[in-house]
Amino acid sequence: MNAFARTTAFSDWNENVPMSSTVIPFKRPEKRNFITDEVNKWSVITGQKLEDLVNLPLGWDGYNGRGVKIQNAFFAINLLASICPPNFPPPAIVPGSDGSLQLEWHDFEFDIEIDISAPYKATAWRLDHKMDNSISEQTIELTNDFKAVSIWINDFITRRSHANTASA
Amino acid sequence: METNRYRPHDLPEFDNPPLNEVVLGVQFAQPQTYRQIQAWQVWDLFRDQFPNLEEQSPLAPTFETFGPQQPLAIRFGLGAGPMHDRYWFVSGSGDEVIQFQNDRLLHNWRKQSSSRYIRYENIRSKFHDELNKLKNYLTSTNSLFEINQCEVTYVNHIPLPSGTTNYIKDWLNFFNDQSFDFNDLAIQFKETIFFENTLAPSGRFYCDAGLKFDQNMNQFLSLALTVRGQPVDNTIDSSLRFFDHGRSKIVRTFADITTGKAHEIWGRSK
Repeated sequence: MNAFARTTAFSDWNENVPMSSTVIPFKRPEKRNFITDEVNKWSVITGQKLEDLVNLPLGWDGYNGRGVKIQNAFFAINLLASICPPNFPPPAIVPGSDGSLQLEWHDFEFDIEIDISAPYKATAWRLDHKMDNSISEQTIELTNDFKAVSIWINDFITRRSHANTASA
Repeated sequence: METNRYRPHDLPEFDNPPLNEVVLGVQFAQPQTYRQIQAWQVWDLFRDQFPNLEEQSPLAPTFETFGPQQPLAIRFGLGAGPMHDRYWFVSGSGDEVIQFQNDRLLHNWRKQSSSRYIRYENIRSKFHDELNKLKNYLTSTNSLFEINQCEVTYVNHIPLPSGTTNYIKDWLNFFNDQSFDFNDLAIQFKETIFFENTLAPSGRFYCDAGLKFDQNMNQFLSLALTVRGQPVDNTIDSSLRFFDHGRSKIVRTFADITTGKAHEIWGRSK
């Protein structure tokens, strides 16, 4: 008999302990669920992608393309952390041959792209295919304040949520 | 000694502040033509005053960005590619250090057992000279010196009797003159700072207070105050203005969050 078998400390329920009426037995769950850290979902995926892009070999594009600059990668992560809610989908990331990068989200009605040429030098672009078939296009020059882009992100989430509800 | 022309006339002043370390630093775009082997030449720029060398792990790039979400603690490695070391060029007395890596230059003053605080104006003056030397060197190698982030940090160490935190109220204003015997203490807050004459955010002020122990297991209160952010442009002059602004913010906040009783001990003269 091992030490654990002699104690009730590690068992959920001990048949031999008399119950008083004030004690409510806590039933063992059928299965155990592990909750992953949702907060980091997009950041983990994006971090892995950026690591790969930072380490691209010289000439990856068939010319003299270099990997994404480390400062641009860190700036991109900071930017995303400022605007992306926990469950937001990770962006597609397109490297530039000069060490720049582009973050992109595309949906049926929405395109958002953020081009990072250097830390604190970014351009955000949105194409919005509206319900009335008109198209609106916007461009914003960005430095360190991304509240304007976060409004686009919220629109993106709202529109997607409505589309999912409608198709359900 | 550098004059006080960078000191606002109404800035609180202490004859004997509990400073343990003061850091001025810049982060800059990685110079295009620079390679790690040239770190030897960079050390040569400063070696007459900083004859000793230490190698450290590099600092990761940092940026202050703003949006509705709170910044996350994100796991993000620096990658498997070649990394530049961080070098410490240490002065003969050991109380001043230049930290250099391929996107950072910092100047630390750190208290040694017998050293006295040499004052912000002197550190600023020395760092100004060092920034110019590095810029001139990089320019001579056909690289640009483009600063994208500045940082000022003051770390204060306030000795406390071991085994109790009852006396923190004598030093910090947070406790409304009430005694609390904590097992541990960690106070952190941050505040957005703005470019002068605009409503655009330029960076953040960070306050980080906690209990620590020195090598002899004596308890002390560590009070670290940092201003970090983007200068108006990527020049040395803008960085110096950022330091002046950051230093004022730090000193004023330090005076605001510490007690009058503490100010008497530290010899507040303004």
